[in-house]
Amino acid sequence: MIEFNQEKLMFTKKTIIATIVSFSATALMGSQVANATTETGTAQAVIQTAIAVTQSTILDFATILPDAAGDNVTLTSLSAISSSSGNSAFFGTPTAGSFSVNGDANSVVTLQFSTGNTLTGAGDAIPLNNFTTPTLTPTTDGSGNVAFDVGATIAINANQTPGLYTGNYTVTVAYQ
Amino acid sequence: MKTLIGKKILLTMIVFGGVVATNINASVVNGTAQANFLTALSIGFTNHIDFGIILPPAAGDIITIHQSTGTPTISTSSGNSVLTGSFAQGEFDVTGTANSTATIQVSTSTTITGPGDPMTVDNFAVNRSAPFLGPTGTTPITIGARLNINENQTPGNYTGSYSVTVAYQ
Repeated sequence: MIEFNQEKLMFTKKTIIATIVSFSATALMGSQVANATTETGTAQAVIQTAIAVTQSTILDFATILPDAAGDNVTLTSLSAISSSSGNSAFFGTPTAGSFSVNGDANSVVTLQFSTGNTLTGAGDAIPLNNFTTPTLTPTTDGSGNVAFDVGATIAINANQTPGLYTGNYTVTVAYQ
Repeated sequence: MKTLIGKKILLTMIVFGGVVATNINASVVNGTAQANFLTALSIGFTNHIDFGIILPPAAGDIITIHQSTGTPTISTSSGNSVLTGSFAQGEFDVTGTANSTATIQVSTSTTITGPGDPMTVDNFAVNRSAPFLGPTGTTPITIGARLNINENQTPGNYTGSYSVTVAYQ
């Protein structure tokens, strides 16, 4: 009697466990059916035109008879030249730098100028800085084109050795 | 599970999209700048304008020293003055930046003074009004002028000064 009862008890436990498992399986299956759904994901990409920049005109301070004490000479983006001391004389045709940009149509681009530039020649190097342009965020036209002019300031040393001085600067153009 | 994979793919595309955009959406270009500097101009005196020694007619006269290069010449408008002694054009050396061009301006007129009435010297003329300084940066210029002798000009030595201005063209 005792053994029978034990077997019956064990049978009963298995039945209960199996029943629980069975219910669990049923519940899981029911859950899968209830959560089935379809979502639509969106993928997009904007392909930009690579920006192309070319220099149209060099930044030319033309010919200067400088103040012997040194001077800061500024050439504006409108090609107007001036001396901070008022004692330098100018000759020739000073001309602002000019660049042409091509990129996406009707897009705003940003302009950034390099620093620490110099003009070098026969004498001491001449710092070239304070670049100016009408706007640092020009907008391309319907064809993706925009041009901009550049002015700058050179810091002429005292008793600057005569001669031609040249140098480079960089302009970085990026989409805003 | 499909949805999760889809999100992973989308996220990956966005990340790649950002990297690509960074590479192509900026352009750097070199610009060139230049400036040409001149040497301050100077002018060095070499010779006076010298009308020499003149025995003028009582009516007065006009004596001209020509500015042309080469052997200087002198002339009298009346033809009645006696010109003796040495005469000379004015001469200056203009110095500045090699291979540049200067411009010359001379006084319109001046007077020379001495024991009698002052005499007017005018019609200054330069052999080259815009001399090219050449590879050495120096070139001479010569200057002529006209002396207006008054009637019955008192004899003696008469002197005066005139100005010459040089500038870069």
